Amino acid sequence: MLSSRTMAVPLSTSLPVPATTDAGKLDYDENGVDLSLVRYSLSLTPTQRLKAVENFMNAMASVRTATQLPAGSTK
Amino acid sequence: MAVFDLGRLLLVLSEEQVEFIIVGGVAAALQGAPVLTQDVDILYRIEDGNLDRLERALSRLHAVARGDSRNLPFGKSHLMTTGHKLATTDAGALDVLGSINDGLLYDDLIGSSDVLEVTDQRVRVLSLRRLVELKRALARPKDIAMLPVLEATLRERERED
Repeated sequence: MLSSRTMAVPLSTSLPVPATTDAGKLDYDENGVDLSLVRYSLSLTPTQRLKAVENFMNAMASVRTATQLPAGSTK
Repeated sequence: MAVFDLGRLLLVLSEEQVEFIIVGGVAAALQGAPVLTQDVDILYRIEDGNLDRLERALSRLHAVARGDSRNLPFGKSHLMTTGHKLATTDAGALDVLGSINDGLLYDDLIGSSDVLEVTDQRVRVLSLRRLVELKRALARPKDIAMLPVLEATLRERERED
């Protein structure tokens, strides 16, 4: 469904799943998804969620400009 | 540097009364999944009047074909096709899709969409459940990679309900 240049980034998959923690019960599901991140995202309004995506897009555009990558490049 | 203004993008599409459904990564994010993406995907209705409205909206957004140095705008004859039109607009990257997943059209998915209020606009967004189904069907590595997050979000939402 997504175009070839679209890179949707699952935030939580980059996070390691700690084996143990002093903080007590882990808040990851069986796939290592950080459920606290899911709950936080669900607590936002759709407008706030869109703003988060927009902020990411603008940050990526800044990086692209700073590194002078051609428009449309994802690498 | 391009400045993304997704609120304006949705505003222009809404003002022109374009019939569309937000799909892809932005749909996932709007439905509450903690994912990020670099462009907006919309699935539009291929119907004569809607194509006129979409063409006007794209013109207002100064949409041109992405990655084409000729800066070609999108005409109605182009929009009539079911293919993917990848655009650069003055409000951000926009993928204008006539169909998704090997031929699913707007009319096929409107029943699987939710109307959400986003930046004061009421927009149709593909449901998270349908998004998961479509990504499972696509089974591409990048779609499979996102599935655990989408499925976890779906479970959390259902647990809250």
